[in-house]
Amino acid sequence: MTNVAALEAVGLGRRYGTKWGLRDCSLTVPEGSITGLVGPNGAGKSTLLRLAAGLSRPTTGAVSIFGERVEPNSTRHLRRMGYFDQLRPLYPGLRVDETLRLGHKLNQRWDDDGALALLNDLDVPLAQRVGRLSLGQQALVALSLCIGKRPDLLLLDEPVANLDPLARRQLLETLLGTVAERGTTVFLSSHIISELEPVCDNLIILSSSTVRITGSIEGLLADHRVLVGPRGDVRLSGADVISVRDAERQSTLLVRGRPPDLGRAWQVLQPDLDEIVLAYLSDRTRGRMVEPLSSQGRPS
Amino acid sequence: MWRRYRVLMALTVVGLGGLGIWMLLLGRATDSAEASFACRHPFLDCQVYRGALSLSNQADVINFLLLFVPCLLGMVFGAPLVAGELEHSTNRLAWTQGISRTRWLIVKWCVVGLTLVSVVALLTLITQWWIGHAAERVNFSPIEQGLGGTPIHPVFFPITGLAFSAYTLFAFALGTALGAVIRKTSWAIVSTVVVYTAISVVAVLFVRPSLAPQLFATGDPSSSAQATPLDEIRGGWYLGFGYRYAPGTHETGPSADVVGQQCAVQNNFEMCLSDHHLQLGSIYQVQNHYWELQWRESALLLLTSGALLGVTVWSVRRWRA
Repeated sequence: MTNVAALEAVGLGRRYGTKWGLRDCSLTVPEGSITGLVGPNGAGKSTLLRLAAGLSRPTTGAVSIFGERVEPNSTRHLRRMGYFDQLRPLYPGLRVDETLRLGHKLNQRWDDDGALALLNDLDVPLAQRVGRLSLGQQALVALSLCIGKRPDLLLLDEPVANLDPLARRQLLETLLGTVAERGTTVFLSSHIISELEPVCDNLIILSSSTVRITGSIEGLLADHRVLVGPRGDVRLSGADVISVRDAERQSTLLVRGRPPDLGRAWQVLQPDLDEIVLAYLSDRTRGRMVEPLSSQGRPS
Repeated sequence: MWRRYRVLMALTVVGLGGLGIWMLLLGRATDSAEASFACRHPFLDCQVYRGALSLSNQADVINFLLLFVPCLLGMVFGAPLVAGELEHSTNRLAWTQGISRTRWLIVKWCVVGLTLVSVVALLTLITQWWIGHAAERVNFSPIEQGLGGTPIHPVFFPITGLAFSAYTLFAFALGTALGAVIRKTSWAIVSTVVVYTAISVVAVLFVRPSLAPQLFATGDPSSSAQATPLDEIRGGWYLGFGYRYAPGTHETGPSADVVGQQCAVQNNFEMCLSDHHLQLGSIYQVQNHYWELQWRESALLLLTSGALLGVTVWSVRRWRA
């Protein structure tokens, strides 16, 4: 990894009327990484990705791609970026090969062979109209359009939402196979952490339109511990309590940092990624979840 | 890009082509009918005017359809050009490829717009011939028939010459701009019809009559006591009655029309007119001005279309998710 950020947001905010879709968001996606953006529906994931793709204009702050500031009416950021919208818009009346030809015409550097090979390998019928394809195949066509651009940064908004498990695996495998060859940076969002965990090496947790934590998955796992012990006040020096869940007689705490030795009454466990994400998305004091994360639902 | 429009374009070409063929057939039928003995004799029953499906009535239908063609193309191709993309979110696909929104729009606008204009320009070749062979002879009121039909008449003017293509481009630009601003195809279609119709009416009533110098013919055109030779007004576009100060009695003060209308409510109309050196007469746009009017009105429409493209570009650049 180099020092240049593939994507950098500084104080980025977008307001819709009186409601903030994204607020004071500062984050960095390192070049060469596969970074997951996770958060419940309505957390601002799509807003962030649309801002990065230049489809939206920030109310505050700025976002840049490889040091180039994103401006909705400029083309400079478009060249190095591929964007996959959560709605997967395609022209339903066009055939698959015509859709790729459209990509060819609208992009300066276009890898026709790569995009075609990708769809051929996955048995997507090129002569079929896009509107007649299954959801999974449509997602693959949308992905091949992104990959045909030969982007240095791929922005994928809920790429696998609404897909059956087979199509999901197919899409992610295709994605990983392609980007591994070219060293493409990938920034993808999902509200399902289990989808992201196997593919990502970095994670950004977004909730209520603000960034909760960012870091590598390894680092997050190493930094967090679950403490289970008797209910009541505990003093923890050197560790931040992220969430507390109280049961009748015992409390479960998720902490960040190295907890002090609390004696034999307390158990120290290694949390999995799911638990860490849930803790960040839940209300800090009461331990109430903001929204269930691992259940599948429609993207916002 | 044009592939997305292939079905619509094919339908358009078939529809307009069919109309063209109908016009050719009708023109020839009218030609041969009028050459017949019955039609050359005023007291015999000429087949041109016989029955509900008479050649004359068919010509009226064709004429009506032709007048509607630019508006129809504006509804079908203009209104959804941007609004359809916004409605189906496909703009998110198009605007994240390698070219800017502005360029995307201008290329799309020019390709579709110029294709429509070329198709209509071809159709104009037929209408130009057709009004001379069918329409011009059959669907005039008696007073106008006395003057002889002419392409300068409001029902022919916008479907001949340059104006047919210019109105097509204008309707397309109007539909596109309304679609981009309203962002809903259905409402854009409705408003295109309303605005296009309103503007066509305004053009006929208030703009076109004064795009070239008018001819003032004193006296009643139907009476034989004509001051102006009939040749000059033959084939002209009759705009109505009006007043003017007699030549050489140039007066400052109220306009001739104001004074004339005051006279019209007085008992002794004729006396009042002569007291004020006023003349009553008919106003025409003469046939010789046809091309002048065509050029000027088309230029105005072209300018308006350009301005509407500007509005569309502005609206597209401003769009954000």
